Amino acid sequence: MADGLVFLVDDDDAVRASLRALLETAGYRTAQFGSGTDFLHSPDIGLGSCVLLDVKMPGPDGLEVQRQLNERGETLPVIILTGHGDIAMAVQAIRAGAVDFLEKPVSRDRLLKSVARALDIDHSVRQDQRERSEIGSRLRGLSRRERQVLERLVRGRTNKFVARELGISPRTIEVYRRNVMTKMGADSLSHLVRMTLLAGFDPVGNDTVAVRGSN
Amino acid sequence: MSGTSELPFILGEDKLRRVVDAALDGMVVIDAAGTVLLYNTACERLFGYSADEVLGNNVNMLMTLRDRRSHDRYIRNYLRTGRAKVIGKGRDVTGLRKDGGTVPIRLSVGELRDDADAILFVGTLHDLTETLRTRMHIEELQSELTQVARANTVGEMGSALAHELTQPLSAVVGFVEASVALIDQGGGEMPAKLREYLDQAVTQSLRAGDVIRLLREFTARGDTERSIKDINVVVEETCRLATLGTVADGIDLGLDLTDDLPPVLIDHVQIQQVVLNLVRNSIDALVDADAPAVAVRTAPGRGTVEVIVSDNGPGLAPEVGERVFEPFVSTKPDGIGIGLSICRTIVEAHGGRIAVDSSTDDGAAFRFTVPVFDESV
Repeated sequence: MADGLVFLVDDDDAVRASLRALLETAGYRTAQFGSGTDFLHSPDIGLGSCVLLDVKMPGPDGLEVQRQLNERGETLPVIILTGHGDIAMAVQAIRAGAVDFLEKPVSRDRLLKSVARALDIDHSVRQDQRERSEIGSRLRGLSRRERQVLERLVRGRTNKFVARELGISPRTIEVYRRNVMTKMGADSLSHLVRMTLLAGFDPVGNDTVAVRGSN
Repeated sequence: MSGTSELPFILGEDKLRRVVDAALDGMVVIDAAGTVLLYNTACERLFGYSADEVLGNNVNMLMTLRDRRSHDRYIRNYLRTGRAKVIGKGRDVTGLRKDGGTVPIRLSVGELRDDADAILFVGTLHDLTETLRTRMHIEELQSELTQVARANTVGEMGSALAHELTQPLSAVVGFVEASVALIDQGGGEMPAKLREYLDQAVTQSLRAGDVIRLLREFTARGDTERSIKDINVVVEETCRLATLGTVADGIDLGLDLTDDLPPVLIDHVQIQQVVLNLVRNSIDALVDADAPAVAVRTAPGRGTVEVIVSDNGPGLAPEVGERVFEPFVSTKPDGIGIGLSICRTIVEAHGGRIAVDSSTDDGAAFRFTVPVFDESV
């Protein structure tokens, strides 16, 4: 059985109830909203796995709700539901990051596939977020010297080069390097590079992983 | 006057006779007993009887059974009271032909005195067959045009209607597929849930059917038929049709129906068409309105009931005014200007009036009346 909380936003009670029936028989939990405004005011948005948004609603329509979610930086995957397939509208929704664009009436199979895909996306987004914050806290656990060494290592500098640049002996650099690998939980240099990339470090650019050390 | 009396003198009796026979309209002279004294050539064409067969007989042989019985009485009444029903004016009657067929006739009757001062009646009979055919043709065209306009209105509502059908259809698919999933899964809670889903599927199927029924009734190419109706029922049902799909556009439709209005004798599909047209026009006028609202009211008038459709849109430009009811005058960018002219035709055919109050401050209000059904007529 699938697991996940799916938000249903549609002004039509019957349509909402039928979507709920479809999703609940597939094992999903649902929370329903009769308007975009009600949904946007919900404190539970962060708990959801995806949202099915009807396009044609009084008040903010589906595309507007999607826009406001984006503006608020919500990563909740959006599936747009429409009564009459309008290519321009579909393009707009997909450009704004919608996972899918479903035309009513939608078959159970199509709906469940789409929701499953949205949940996968949500899952990997959340995993990335978790990893990113974990890496962030590990980075904050490094000393200033260790961060300076890490920055240079992930840029592909050799121990000798780093030693000269920081004015310390290559052997000491080797000690720092081992400490960095341990504290960051990295198996290899390439693993370390991947982690710093995920944390938003640009190895080609000038930015630093954390605070740039003074020479 | 002297000219008339001198005519026989100028023309001679046989010449006068030829004038009468050359006339395209039928001419009949009868005495107070109804006996035919003159029957011209046009009458022979009209009725198929020759003059020999009619002269000297009662004129009621040229009438249908209904008129035949009362004709003698009409004459007696007139002679006694001097009150004329037909004399001096025209009246449309049905003539009976020799072959048993009937012919529509416009009959005008005048009176004169013969030399013995006995009263005579002279009837002029104009064949209405062609006129009626033309009128019927026009009515047919009109009815076709109103039918086309109805279909056109429904066409313009296309996307709203599609939405209104897609919603229940979509719910039906959902409930039925969820039911199938439940059956596949088995389990203890199945029957109750299954029942609920199937109930909902039925309700939603009926909802879709209801939309289709409303539409079908409205677009049916039925004969125009008048019946006694409660205007409120007609208005209410039409508003349901007119606002299909617009709830989602956030338009507020207010119904303010006065209770206990007298009944009206109307072709309800046509009156629906008028109401639908006015409400849809209002909705169309509200695209850019802040708090779009349409109000539909019914009210009693003087021997009429009135229906008022108003909106808080931009109203009509003053130079347009009453011209909106003329054909091919439209205020919509893609309008062809047929809707309101048909509304006027329909309302006037019902004996009512249609008008518009419009100011650019508080939108437009269209009002029309239909006469109250009067049992004594």
